[in-house]
Amino acid sequence: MITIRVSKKFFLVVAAVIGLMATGAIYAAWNTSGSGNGYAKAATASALTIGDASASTTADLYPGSTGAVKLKVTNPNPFAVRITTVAKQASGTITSDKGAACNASTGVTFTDQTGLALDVAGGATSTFTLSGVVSMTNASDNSCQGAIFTIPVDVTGASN
Amino acid sequence: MRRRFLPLLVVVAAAGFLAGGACAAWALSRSGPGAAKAKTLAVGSQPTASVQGHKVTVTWTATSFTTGGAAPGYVIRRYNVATGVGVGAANGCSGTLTVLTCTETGVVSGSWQYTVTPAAGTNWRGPESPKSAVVVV
Repeated sequence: MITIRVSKKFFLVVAAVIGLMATGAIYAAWNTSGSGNGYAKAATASALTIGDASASTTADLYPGSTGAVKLKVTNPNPFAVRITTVAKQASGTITSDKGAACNASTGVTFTDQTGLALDVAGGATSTFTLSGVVSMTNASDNSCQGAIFTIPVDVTGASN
Repeated sequence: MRRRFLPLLVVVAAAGFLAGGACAAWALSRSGPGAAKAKTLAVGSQPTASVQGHKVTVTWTATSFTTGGAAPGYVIRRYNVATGVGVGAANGCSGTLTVLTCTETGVVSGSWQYTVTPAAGTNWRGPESPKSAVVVV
């Protein structure tokens, strides 16, 4: 058996520091979520699912205009999630359902979005409309008329 | 201080680490597809044409996209009735127009018909309208 000898003063200082760290972390958890329940489960949070939202799109893009993007998110977790950032994947390419000619010159660009507050309840699927986040240049190919564009994005959020 | 305080120290430290671990796990990210959709230009409306000397004034009504909203522009063509060959209208009716009437000057003598094609941007073109009634210059 090993006996550790420390002074009472040293022990009190160490205990106080560790206690404050633990308290701060726990407070941060409550402050972020608004609910203390389920945080222990967060360590095993399941990934969000981004589904096909093409069926809910509204035709609003044409050369020289801006339009909306639909985003369908499923949260399999028992707690709510707030999405704060939607950004185009750095290596992703915007494609269409109209084939090579349109894909070669969609003219569509996506503007990364930060500071969002898109809430998905636990176990729910929500479809969001991000208005004015895509634009189409005058160079868009004629075959892109009526096209549905697939925009690869990275979605970032946190338990809410 | 003796080892009897050691378990308490361990418990407090463990609580801190667990709480910190839970915080790190809350962040969630995922890659996937967003979706957007483009409009479609509708067919141009049949124009009317009137002659005054070698000037032909062409007038048409606005065309919308199939889902609503006016077409941004129009392209006018002139067809030779005798040969069926069409050319882009010129001298006052050339290029992409954002108005609903134009007057082409310097039209050579002959029998002509005009059409209107909705346009957007450099490349988008809608279906060409039916030809106007024949005008004789």
